[in-house]
Amino acid sequence: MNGVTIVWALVAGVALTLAFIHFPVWLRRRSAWNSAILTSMALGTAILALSELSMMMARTPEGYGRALRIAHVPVWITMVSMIGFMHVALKPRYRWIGWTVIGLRTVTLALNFSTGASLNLGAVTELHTFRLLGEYVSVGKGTYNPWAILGNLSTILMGVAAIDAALGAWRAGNRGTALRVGGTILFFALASVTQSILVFGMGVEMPTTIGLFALAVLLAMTYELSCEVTRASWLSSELSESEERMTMAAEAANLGLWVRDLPRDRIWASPRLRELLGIGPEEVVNYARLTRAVHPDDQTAMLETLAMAGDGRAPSHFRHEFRSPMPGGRVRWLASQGRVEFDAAGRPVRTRGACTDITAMRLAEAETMRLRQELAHVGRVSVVGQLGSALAHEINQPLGAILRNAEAAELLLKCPDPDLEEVRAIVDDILSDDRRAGAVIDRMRALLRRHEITMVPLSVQDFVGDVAALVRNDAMTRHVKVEVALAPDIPAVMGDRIHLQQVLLNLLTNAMDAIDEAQRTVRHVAVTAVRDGSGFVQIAVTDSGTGIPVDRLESIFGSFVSTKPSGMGMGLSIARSLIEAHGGRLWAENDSGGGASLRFTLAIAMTGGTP
Amino acid sequence: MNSNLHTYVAIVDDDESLCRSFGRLLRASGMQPIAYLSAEDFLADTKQPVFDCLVFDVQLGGLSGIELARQLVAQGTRTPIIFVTGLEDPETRERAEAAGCAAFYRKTDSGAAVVNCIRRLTGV
Repeated sequence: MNGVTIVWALVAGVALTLAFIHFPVWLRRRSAWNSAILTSMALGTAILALSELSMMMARTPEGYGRALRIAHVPVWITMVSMIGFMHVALKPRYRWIGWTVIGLRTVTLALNFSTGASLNLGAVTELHTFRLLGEYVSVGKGTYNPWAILGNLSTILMGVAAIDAALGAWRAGNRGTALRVGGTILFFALASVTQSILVFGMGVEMPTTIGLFALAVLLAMTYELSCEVTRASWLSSELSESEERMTMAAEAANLGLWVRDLPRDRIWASPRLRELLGIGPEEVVNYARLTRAVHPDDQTAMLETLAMAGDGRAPSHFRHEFRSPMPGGRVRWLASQGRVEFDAAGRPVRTRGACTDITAMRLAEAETMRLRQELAHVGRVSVVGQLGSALAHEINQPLGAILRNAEAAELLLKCPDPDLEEVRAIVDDILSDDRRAGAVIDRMRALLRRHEITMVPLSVQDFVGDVAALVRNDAMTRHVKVEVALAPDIPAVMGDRIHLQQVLLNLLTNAMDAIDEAQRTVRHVAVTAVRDGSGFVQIAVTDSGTGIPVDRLESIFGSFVSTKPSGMGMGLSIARSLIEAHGGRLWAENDSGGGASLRFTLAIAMTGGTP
Repeated sequence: MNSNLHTYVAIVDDDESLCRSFGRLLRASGMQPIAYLSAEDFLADTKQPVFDCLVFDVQLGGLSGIELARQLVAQGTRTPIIFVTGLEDPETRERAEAAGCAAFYRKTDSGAAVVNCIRRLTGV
């Protein structure tokens, strides 16, 4: 039985097979250095095994010497491969050890070809033949080459490199690889050196089996690589699993997903996005096709956004809203949000993002706007009606007084001895009433001029602050302290600045009048604002007066009820109409502190458009 | 004119200028007006003479003219009550008449008309 031939040929065969498996892997993926190293290790092992076989089969000392000399080439290849694999797989701290090994080994390879028959034996003088595994095998004897010590030294140093690399990897937690790769390389180094000394230095009758030791290392390396392949395939299945989850989530949220490859002008669009944009499942999506899916009016803005993302001008995150035409002349409103990804050099390589259908939201917004306008219109009509009555009332007072004064003067002047003092007083009163009537008309005209209610988002702080500033002087001369205490998180409200100022001014003036009437020593008015429920802000004007009789809490808002002797105010009824035109409420309460509290609500302004 | 000197007329109106001007007209017409700025003032006046006629504004600061009239009628007063108002709605007029008023005028109506009405009501 030719056991030796079978075993060594088998080693070479296994090694060559592995080389054939891993070489194409490296060809397809040049960054897979592991596969390249493994290929060279496998080739080295195969050649080494074949060299050893030809050494054993040599029948002359010269033939043995030639084969031994040749064998140093695959030994060099395997050792360089092992150092390389260690560097990749174990990432040793002291890489210079490995480089030294390669340097020394290269020197010994040169010495191998320049000093004597080979590095190990300066000259092969005789051949011993003995039986091994049913075959006769040869082993050469001759003069020991002193340079062989350098070769052994390099191999021992590789063992040291293996220990260092394995320790480093062990500490980093990579224990299995440290044991397998470090262990087999250490074994290779020690076994090779020992055998080389025994066979060539001490003349022990045994063949060299370094090819077999190399196979052990090769198998360990293969195992490591297969672990990596397993890990990669597990990662890829994990990836596809997570992609599946993301797609499900996106579909549940009705999100259309896209990834745009910038250099290649290709856009990947999820089925949902294709549906949203009206693009068929098989159609190629690119810049041009996408443009066609956008409403003509929005194309310019869309192209601008795309171009900005493409040349890196867009912020890393961007948001864009556009319309997409649908069959039947309707449009779909879409909001797209995305981010730009850059390569190592900072050039934008792709953008990815998600697109949602916001048509329903847009329609709801439009409906809200329409309702609000309708409400404002109703409010306007009622305000104008109220103003008319109020105007008549306010103007009739001075007109009536003027008439009676004139009639009285007429009677007085008919007397033979008219009281001229009285007539002068009458004329003064007539003049003053005339001015009063003029003032009423001016004020009413100012109110009527603003027949349009313009609803804009208003800062509560601002408009309350404005009115507080307006009444400051009045309050000071009346010794009333006006306190403004607004909660810090008060959002903006929707309203007409002038109208709301008039309402608040009216409430503040009423409050100060109430304090005057009550003749209380505590004289202060508080203006407070808090959030009321989800969509409203409640503003309250609370005075330190004596409050409002319970049965009059509602009637003070009656058309022509004035709580003030002068009756020159805008009137609570108009204030209420104005607040109702804003979609809010105005009512009166008695404060626990004894005074009255007039409260009104205003709708919070919707913040729109921000991403 | 002299025959009216003892005709006492109460004026209740929250507008000071109206009280003054109407008072002048009544005096010039030979009557004795006493003006009050509110219903409460009127009720609180313990030294008031026996009035021959009452002229109330409808809209007052506290108690309204109509409420005041209702109260007085309920107490059994027979003194004629005239309303003079700055309001122009028919509803106010109905309520005033229901409260028991003898006449209803607007503030823009001629003062002479009101004076003539008082003369007719007091029979002088």
